[in-house]
Amino acid sequence: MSFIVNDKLNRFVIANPNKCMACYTCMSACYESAKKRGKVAKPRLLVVHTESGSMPNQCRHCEDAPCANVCPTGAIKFGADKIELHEELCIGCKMCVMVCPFGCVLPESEPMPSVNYMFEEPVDKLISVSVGGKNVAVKCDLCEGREEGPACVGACPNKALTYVTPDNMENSNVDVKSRNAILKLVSFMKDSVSSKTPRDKGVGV
Amino acid sequence: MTNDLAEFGIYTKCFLITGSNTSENHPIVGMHVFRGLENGAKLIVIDPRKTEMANKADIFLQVPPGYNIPVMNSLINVIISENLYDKDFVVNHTKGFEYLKESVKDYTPEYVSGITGIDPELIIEAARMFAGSKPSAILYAMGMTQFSHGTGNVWTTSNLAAITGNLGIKGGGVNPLRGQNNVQGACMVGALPTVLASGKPVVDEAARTECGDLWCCDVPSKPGIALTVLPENIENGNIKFLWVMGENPMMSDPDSNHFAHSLDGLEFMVTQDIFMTETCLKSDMVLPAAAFAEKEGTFVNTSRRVQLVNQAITAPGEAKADWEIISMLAERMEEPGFDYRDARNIWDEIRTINRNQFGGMDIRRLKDLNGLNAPCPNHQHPGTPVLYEGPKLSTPDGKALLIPVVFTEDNTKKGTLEAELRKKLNLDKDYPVMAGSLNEAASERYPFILTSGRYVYQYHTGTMTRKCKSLETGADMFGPAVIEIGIESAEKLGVAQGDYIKLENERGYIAAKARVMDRIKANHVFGSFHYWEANVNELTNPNGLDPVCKIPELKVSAVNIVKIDEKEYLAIQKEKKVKFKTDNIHGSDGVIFPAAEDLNQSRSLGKGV
Repeated sequence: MSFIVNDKLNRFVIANPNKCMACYTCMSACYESAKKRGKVAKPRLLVVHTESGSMPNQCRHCEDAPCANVCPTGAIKFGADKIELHEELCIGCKMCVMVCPFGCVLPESEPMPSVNYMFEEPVDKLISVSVGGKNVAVKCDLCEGREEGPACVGACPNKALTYVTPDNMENSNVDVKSRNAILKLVSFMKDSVSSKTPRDKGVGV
Repeated sequence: MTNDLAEFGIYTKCFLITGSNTSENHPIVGMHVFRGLENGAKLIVIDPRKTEMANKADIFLQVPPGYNIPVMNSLINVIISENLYDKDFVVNHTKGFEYLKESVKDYTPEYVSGITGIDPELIIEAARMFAGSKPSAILYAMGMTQFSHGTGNVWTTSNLAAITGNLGIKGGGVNPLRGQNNVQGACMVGALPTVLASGKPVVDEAARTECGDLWCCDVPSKPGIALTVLPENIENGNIKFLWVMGENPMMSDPDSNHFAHSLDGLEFMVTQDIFMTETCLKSDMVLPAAAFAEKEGTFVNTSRRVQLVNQAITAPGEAKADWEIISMLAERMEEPGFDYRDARNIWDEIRTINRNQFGGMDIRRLKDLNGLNAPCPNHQHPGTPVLYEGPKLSTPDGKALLIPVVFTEDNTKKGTLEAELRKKLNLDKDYPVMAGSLNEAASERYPFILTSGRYVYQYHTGTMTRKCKSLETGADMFGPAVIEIGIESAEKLGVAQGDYIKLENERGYIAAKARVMDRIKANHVFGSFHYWEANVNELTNPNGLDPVCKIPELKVSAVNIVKIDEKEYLAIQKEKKVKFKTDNIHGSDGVIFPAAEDLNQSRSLGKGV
């Protein structure tokens, strides 16, 4: 049995909170991948701690992505199978940051190699420094240009992260869940009909 | 650990994790625990903070820092009073059950709830869950041991494991999680003041002769000096020369101001490390050592598994393996017996002297079998992943000793309580017993209790991880030094997320950003010792050591918190920078955190700084 899932669907990465142990390895891998690909060297997924559990949060590559809709320069735009990010076009207007419902787009810049932030006033790198690079929109771009796919998925030691594509979405999620739902509903209906509503009363099933 | 960590995912039915933030600080163990949870195991977590493990727990007991004895005793109390204990095991394989029963009699869930604020129903439920699902494993780490009654805390875990019959079975046991890759190995080969290389105590004369015969020398009969009493021993002139290897006590030892001051009393100090550290900068000479991938040898992991390490890259500059440095020094001092050819040579000597543990582990077997669990006395022995199987314990009569441990909130009454208990139970003079208490309690002057720990993205004092750019600017998203503070306390102080706070007590002060979190309760705050910017060890108490093992009470110190502004914060940061001489660690060549290749330069520093 196969459910037709439009293979034009956007791909995305998502974590299983039951498997995630918040070890931050994905964030490190993300940083390394971004740096290697010449992007702003910042992690594009952030592990978020909440009282009910922790997992990394990253771009969902929404089909009608608000960030791509508001972007005035095409730095964030609708791609064939993802929401593309072209950092070089970004003017830093931060509209995408404001509209993202998941908080997955962040204005970020790299520390500049020529500036020694350790000894620049103010001394702490946590405080926004007066000398800094231009902030651009940074979000998950599914490691565009990396042959093995998103780096975080491979780096996760507990296999909590999944790279969801139309293929594995169809196989593992939709058909299994819908089958189980129908199975349960039908058996429940059958039980309740046979015990409570006699057929000869004429109530259709 | 009495068991192998790989058993957690397969055999264990219930985990009791206490004083360990497993998924953050021991991620590999955490992974095995998660595998067990996926197979339907239950999880009980006892911790002052709602950690990631607590989020996934079936039962979470949020205990105030230092109240482990009452909680563990109340679990034992419920198990005994509801008749859930393993009668067969208790009768045949333990001693002193009557003493234990009497000592935990007062620790009813209601009483413990009164002093800790934990719901009594949860304690009862946890006790039933632990006793009802066998095999149950107890996992603990520094949250149990770093107290003035650390030994007592550990005894309560072994009491609990013994009365539920969880010793000597697969997937059960008492499992202290080791903090470093080879700390188990270091203890097993006698890198302790009280233990010889053969794993036997220094006071044992036969063991001393055995070592002395092999090395052709006299082994001193007096146990050495513990690290935690180092400052006072420098001050009274017992120690004049200090050689620090691969450790950063400037950051990791309690009351670092006092510690740093006492180091000035040394005549000469040498530090041997792979990178420049705060301690290196205090010493007269720095010896560059090779890192793990640059040398060969063995590491013994937390489950006593001996694993072979092969050299992958050559050491940069003049860096050498630690044993090479020692051998070279011995050669100059014209001391015989240090002329080893390679690491294999040393391993063979270890196997000769500690045959019971390592006798059957030649390099070939370690390579073929991908590691072996100690003890492995001969070549036919398959290794011992589970200790005490049989069950047969390591005591002379093979029976587990149940030790009464009690707790008092009044530190001054500790001695009398212990004497009273001894009298009440009519115990022998050498039967162990402990009354625990806390050195410091919240007072009007210092109303907050500071507890310390580690975060996942930094390792200990950051000697290695803080030099890794992908961690510093990638994963370490909270930046240097935050102090976790509960919502109630933050409201009381008028502190919002990201405000600057100053923690102070009579030993020192630190300043950091506040991270307001609901995972920490009441008047408790949490800080780490990773960052020189705000190292909690400037505030921790070096006095009131554990009477047995001399561990300081690092997990509980009373502090006061004041809100400060950015200007004051920056002033304190500058002070700390001077104190730890951090300019010299992070380089002044215009790079925030020097890349690995730049650091190699500092690795070749063979002379004094």
